[in-house]
Amino acid sequence: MTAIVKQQQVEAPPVAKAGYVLPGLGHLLTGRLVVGVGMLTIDLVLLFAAFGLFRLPEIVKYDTWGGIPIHPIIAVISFFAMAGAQWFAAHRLVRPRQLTEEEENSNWNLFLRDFSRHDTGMLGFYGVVLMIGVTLLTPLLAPFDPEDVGVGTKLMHPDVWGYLTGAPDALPLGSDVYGRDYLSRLLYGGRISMSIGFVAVGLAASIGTSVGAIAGYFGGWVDRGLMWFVDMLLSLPRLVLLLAIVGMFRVTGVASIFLIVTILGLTGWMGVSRIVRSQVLSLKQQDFIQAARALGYGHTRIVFRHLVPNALAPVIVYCSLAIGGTMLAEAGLSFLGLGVAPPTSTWGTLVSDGREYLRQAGFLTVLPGLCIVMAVMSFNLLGDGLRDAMDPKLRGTK
Amino acid sequence: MFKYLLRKLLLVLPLLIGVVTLVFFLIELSPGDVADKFFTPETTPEVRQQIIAKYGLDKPAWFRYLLLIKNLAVLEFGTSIAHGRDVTTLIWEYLPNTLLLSSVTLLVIYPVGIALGTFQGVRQGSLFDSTASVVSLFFYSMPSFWLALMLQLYFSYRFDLLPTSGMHDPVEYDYMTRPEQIVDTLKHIILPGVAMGVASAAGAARYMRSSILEVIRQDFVRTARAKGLPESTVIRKHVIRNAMLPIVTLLGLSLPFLFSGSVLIEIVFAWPGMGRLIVNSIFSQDTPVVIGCFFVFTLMVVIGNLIADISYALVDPRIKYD
Amino acid sequence: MRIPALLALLAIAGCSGDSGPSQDAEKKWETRDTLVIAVQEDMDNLIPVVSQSAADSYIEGAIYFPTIDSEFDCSLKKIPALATEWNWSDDGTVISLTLRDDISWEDGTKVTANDILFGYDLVRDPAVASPRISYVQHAIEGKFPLVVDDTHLEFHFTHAYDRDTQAAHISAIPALPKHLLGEADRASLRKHAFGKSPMSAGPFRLAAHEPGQRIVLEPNWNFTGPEEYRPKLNRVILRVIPEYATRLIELEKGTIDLMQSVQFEDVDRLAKEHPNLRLVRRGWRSMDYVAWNQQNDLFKDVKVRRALTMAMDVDHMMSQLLTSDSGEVYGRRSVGTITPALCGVHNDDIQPLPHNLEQAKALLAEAGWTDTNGNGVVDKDGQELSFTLTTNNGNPRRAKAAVFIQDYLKQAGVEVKIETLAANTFFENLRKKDYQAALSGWSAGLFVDPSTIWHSDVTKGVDPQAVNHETPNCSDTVTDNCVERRYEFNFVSYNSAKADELIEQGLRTPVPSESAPIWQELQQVIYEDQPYTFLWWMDEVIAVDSRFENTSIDVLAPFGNLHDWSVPADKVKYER
Repeated sequence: MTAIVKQQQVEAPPVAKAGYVLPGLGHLLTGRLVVGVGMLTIDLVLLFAAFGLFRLPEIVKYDTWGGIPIHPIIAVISFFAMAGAQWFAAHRLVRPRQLTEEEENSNWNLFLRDFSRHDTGMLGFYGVVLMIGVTLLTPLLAPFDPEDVGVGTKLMHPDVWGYLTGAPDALPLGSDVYGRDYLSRLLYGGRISMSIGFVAVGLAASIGTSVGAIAGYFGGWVDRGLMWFVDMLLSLPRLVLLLAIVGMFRVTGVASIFLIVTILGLTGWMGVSRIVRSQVLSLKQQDFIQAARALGYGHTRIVFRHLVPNALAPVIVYCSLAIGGTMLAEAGLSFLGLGVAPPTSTWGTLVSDGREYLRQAGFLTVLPGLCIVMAVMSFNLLGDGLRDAMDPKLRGTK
Repeated sequence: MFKYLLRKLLLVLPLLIGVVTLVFFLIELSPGDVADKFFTPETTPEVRQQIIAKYGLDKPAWFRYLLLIKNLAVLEFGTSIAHGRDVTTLIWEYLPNTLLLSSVTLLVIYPVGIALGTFQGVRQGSLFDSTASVVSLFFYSMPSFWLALMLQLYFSYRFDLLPTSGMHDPVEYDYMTRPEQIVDTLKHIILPGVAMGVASAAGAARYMRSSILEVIRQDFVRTARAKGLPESTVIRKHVIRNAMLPIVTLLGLSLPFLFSGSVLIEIVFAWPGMGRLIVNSIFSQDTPVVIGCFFVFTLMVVIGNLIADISYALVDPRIKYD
Repeated sequence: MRIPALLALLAIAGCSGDSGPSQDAEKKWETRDTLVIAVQEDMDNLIPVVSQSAADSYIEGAIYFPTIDSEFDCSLKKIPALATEWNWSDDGTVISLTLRDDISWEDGTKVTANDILFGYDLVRDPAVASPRISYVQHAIEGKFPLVVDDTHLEFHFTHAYDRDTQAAHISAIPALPKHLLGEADRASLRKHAFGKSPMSAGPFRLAAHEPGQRIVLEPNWNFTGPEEYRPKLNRVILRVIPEYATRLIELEKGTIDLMQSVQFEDVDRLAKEHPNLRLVRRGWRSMDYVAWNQQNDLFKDVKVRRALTMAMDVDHMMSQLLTSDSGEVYGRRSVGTITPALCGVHNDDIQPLPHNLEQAKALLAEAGWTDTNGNGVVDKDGQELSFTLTTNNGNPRRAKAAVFIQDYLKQAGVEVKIETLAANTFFENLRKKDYQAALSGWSAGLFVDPSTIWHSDVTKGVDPQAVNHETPNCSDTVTDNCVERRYEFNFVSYNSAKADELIEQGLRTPVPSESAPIWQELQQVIYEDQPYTFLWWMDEVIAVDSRFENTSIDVLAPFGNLHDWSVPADKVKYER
């Protein structure tokens, strides 16, 4: 323990100041490779987004939601917030926060310390930050209106170099069969994919937590009944169940997004409920709950104010892993033609639409597929890292 | 043991009824008349009534539900609306193919994943461990249908190593000897098997690795080491054997996952299995087949879990059931 | 323990085909090579009365001997097959047929007039609930057909109508073996084993069917018909491959010989990289259009409809959607619902409205639509010209076209919202007229009958389904050749006294050469009214290995007359 305290009191080497010029450079030069590279990548994204700021008047014309350019506004706010966060991180490297002995040993700081040393976890963390960042900045990053059919001719092949050097007929990642810019489509598609992942998992986590807490807290018949239901749903292949529901209901248009999110949420909560239940079962016996009962608090209050917050850590880990799974499930649905209705697209629908041209323009299938792999992998890496860092048994093994 | 089994079996029944009920009410709630597909504008009202009566669609929902349960009790799934044939026959035509694909995947790909996870766990923190972790996570994070397309494009088309789709050579198969036929079928299984199984194998490797890490820290391992047993013996006799136990449960639990994968993989590789049957039935709103397929899927999963439970009980002497 | 179990499973899965090819059967004439065809969906049932899938109709064409064979050249030409002669009575209400006496089923039983009667009995029987019931809607009960003796029979109609259509109605159901199916329970006819292992009277027989995978046809060595109907191929194998990308890879690897509906984007590359492939066009089988619902106030004015048409750059859409890389266009502008393949009937003189944005805007202004509030959308009496364009999902071409249309109309100050509905909901809505504008399509009928689409009183229509006897009655697929035919109706509520009169006059004229001018005038009348914006007629490209000769790929079928197909001895690919 003492060694760690010492290490944090050591002044950062002078090269760390390079971070003020370019956030991330300081980390890189002081040997924190993963953080450095991660932050530099974010710098690059912010740089591209900065160009987008000049195109704002044009962007607000096509990216509106009911007449209000809500996404561009979010993007601009996020841009400055992210830039600020980057420089703040660079600053923290030069002047680490001095911690008191007590803070030093708090669970939160132990967790932070363990997590920041978890290389693959950090890789996942920066992957996720990058994904979320790109999602938020999408309007600024996308060079064209993703729905504009006049940007290119049909099935242009990717030509990053040509685009950057200003060749007349070049698009960075080519165009789809309508002649729409594929980079923009990928970015906007990612926005929907990520949103679906987050919202669906949020929904699943809420349902799962409630069910698990209720089952664990009340026990007896309630527990047995609910867990029987959970077992039943778990024994059904999820994709087939999803397919049956979406296929039977066949809602299209914008409503399809809501339907898909809801159904992904409704079919994804069983894992969470099992975790929360087992947490609650062990917490229930502890003194603070007994005390709360003795004080005569109501069930609702005990469950949601005392039990659930204490059972949340493993849920967060699970959610991180589940976002990946949800994105894969959404992609699978899209592949069967039951995804989000056009012209809106997700990475899943892009793969699905692109496969018709697999031989002619393979990048239409390869690129969104790689995006899915990268996003899902980031969430999984992050989840693994969080789990390891939160597990007291593993603490100090590295 | 016998009593335990009996109790487990008794739980299977309500589970199956629950699944069927769920699917039935989903279908009931969904819009659209199943019988619509038979009607053209020229269909006279009388013919329409006849068709509706023929499939019992004129009865109230609760009646049809009870009828369904009654029929299922004697394993009678009814008649497919789209194909006009017994659902049981239909399922029998497709089920063996899916079982073949999933069992080859399970039996070949899983051991590979388990072995990988074992090596990783034993050499925790090594370069091999972290590389393998990232690589297996890469495959774990991949949409199976996308992998399938890539395998097809590269291994079947570009390098021309393996057949593209189907279960066997369409032209020569009829004239092959039995051993040749088996080899031919195996050749056709490789790509879909890999596409379907890689994610599961990566999952198994992850699971096995953490299981090994769990076991390796336990007291009995420390004791074994303290006794002066060579490290290899400790790993082989104590660690791996104990770490394998939870994997047995994983096998049971991964069946639904495999079936989910089969839906997409069977379409890409034109594999004539249950996945394609159920997708087509859902699209044509062929209720009896959909319910039949769900029933069979659940039954498979339940049987898988049961086998896992039993083998768990058999291999783990600590567990006593009564 | 694992391995033997696995082998057992392999063995089970391996012998799923119920009957292998009859290897011991003696060849009675020379045959060579195997044709492998990729199909999208499996066969279902081979009893023509109840069959449904596309594969069913291909196979039925090869295993049953048709009453009257046909080929298409500007109109349907009738070729003698089972029937050697057919004659109309003077009033056009009776057709009498004379049959060959040398055709027999595989088991040696002769095919007689009673077998034809049996087929129509089944169609008519309500217990069978045949989807082909409309073939007999103009039949006189008990005389459709009236069997005179084993080789002579008469079909009696309630009234005379177009002779090609009548001929189609009497040859749509081939002779069926009464001696095998006569006793079958009709209510469960679809379950009868015959549907999966039928008996052949035609050139081929069904040798094996592996569900979801493969259908094997081999020559019917017991075929007793004319020599020119004898197959020249060893086998024809239909492989079921649902994915386009997979079919294309199989085609390029040479593991399939024929593939339908090759995308235009792939055509040039295939031609360049695979010189062994012949790419054949099947012309003008289906069209796309935008229907303007004239119950909706927005589209009641013909000026608005004409303006909307003129605002669309149809030629540019075609260059983007129906064109290969080298610029070859696989389609032509449509000016009506009658296919250009019906050469004498299609009105070639109609000039499509030109794309002219300014004129379109002027027309809109003339109709009272101007942008008074400067928001880019034209309005009239406080209402904006903004509507939802609905189309069905699962059709990439229409989805693309919708995006283009949205873009074009925006330039003319018209706001379009795109809505994509599942195919069944979409056609349901069209039928109920519950839509504003719809992007949809028709398959070409190879007979002229505009009544159900354009007559203001739909009850007067003749069933257009019946006139598509050669195309499958696909009921569970959403491919564009199929769905359109299910709900024939005057979706747009088109109401023109002049058109009604021409339709009725045309339908009463049995002789095609006399009715042609009437139909041409009708097309002109309808085009002036622009109830639809007619977009285009499309080609289908079929890729086939060039070693096959005498391939009949025409408007009628993607691979018809399989008995004609042959391979020269020096080009044989498969020994067996």
